[in-house]
Amino acid sequence: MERREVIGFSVILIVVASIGIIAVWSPAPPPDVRIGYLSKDLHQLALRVALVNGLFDREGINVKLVEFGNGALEMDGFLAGQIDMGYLGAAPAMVKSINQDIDVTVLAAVNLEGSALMVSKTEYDAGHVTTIADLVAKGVYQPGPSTVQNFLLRLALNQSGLSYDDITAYTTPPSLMADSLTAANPAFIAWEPFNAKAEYDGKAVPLIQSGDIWPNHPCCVVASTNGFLVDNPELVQKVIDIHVEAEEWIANNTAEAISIATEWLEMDETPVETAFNNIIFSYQVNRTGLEMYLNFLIHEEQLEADKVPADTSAFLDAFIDTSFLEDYLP
Amino acid sequence: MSISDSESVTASTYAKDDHFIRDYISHRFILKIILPIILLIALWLIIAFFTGTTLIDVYESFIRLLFEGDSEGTLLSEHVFASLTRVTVGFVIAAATAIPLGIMIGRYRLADSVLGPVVEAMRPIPPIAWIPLAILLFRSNMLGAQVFIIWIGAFFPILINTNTGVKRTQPVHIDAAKTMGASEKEILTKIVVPSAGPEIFAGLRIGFGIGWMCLVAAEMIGGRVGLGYLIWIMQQVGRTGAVISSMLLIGLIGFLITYFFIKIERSLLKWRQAVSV
Repeated sequence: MERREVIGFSVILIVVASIGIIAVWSPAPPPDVRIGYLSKDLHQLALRVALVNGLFDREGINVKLVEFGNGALEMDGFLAGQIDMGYLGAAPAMVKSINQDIDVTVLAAVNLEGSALMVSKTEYDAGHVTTIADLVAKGVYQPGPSTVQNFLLRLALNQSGLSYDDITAYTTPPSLMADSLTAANPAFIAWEPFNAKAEYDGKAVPLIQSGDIWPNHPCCVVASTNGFLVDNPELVQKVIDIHVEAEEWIANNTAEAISIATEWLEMDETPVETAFNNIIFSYQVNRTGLEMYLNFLIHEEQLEADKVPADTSAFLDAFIDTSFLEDYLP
Repeated sequence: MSISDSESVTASTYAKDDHFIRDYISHRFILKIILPIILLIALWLIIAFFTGTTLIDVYESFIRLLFEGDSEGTLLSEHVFASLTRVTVGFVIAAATAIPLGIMIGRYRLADSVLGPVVEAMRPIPPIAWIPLAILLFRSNMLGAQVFIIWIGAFFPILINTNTGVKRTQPVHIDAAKTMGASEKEILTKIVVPSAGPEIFAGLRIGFGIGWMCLVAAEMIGGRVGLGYLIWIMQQVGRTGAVISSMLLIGLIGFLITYFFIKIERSLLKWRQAVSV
């Protein structure tokens, strides 16, 4: 067969096959809800449990999950219309909601506590840094100036008679903190599972858990865009119901929950269990804590001057809506 | 023609020349300065609009950063100085390592055979991909990790261009030098390196540009000062005006440094321009 004939047959075959594929292919139906979440964030285990246990499928909800590197990027996802609901930190949700006029509402908590101030194991064992007071003139890594962890660090320092100016704070992603510890910069504050992993790897030990600094402090929340909330109240209610069910399942099935987390995080079980035990999985919003955090943002001038809420209470009334938790709250 | 006639012809010729020169200068001024500025402003107006901010916000953010600093009180000048220091250190080390290596690979076949494939295999790895390893390699030194990322970005353009320039040396020049009894050192310093000058300078200019672009990634490793750090932090708190003003400043500084490189190149390589067509 001549080369030209071979090419001709090949082209005809490709065209016919393409037409056939187009004819039989049916595009996937659009999702009912697009939910954002943070990659490998143990705080958001409830979402993972809901997926693994098939809760969305059971309710007939076609959900599309969109992964983000951090809460600030997830808020950008809200702004760009990429997601309808999301699991993210209350800190970026609040600060970017105010500064960039992103209309989101917090509907439920995802977890409380679950962070820690860690110190280099070498420095701790050598006796150089065994208390918070030993951090004077040292460097401390933190995830960002507007994060809950930054606020926790300030609280911890104040509680030890120090101020933020007594240390040098460096902003670093949590995934890089444990490997950056030195004698001059011996400490970091981050959320689980980075702390447990650092401890498991022999790089750091906890100096103080965040629950000892600020009991029941808010951390991650479930939020929705206001537009999606108004247009789809029943769907939002279903998602919140699933979230509550997952949270309660975690509380009642600890071993299985840790197993799901271990597989999801692709870590050894020991640090996952340690991290798990440092987190309070709760759907109840700590409004008082959020108000404290809002006042911190205002005091530290993290908010645009012309966007600082005149009435913080009124702002929180609009920012938080726990009506979808009515059936579950005491 | 009378003297006055010839004078008036000369005067009118001069007047035409002056007119031509004024037109030429204003034409160049409009094309090279005014129009690009207008285009840049229009471009950033569009970007600001789609990111939910305005150029006034950007201006106000710039002024605030300049005189009040960020939320930690660090002034814009401190961020600029830190970034310039990191990029300069990274770039100088890149030039000091890439130029000799480029000359070696370009001039000696054995070096080309052994090192050439290594360079080609390492070159495609983006500088950002080196960040996790940079942290491990420079455990106790965050500045070292940041400078390393910038070095990676600047090294390969300088190396490749130097290599290309050396290989483009006219063989007849080398043969002539050898005929006149020149040593290898003299051939390198008086024939090869000057011949490769334009390519080396082009490599330095491109290398600095890429090193400057790696700045944001390098400063995301961590720290508390720097233009890349500022962009990252301002993004976290949703201050888009500050993000854009920092980006504009990065662009302006990059432009000024590139312009500076071109001026130096033109000054040092006049001989090249003299013989160029």
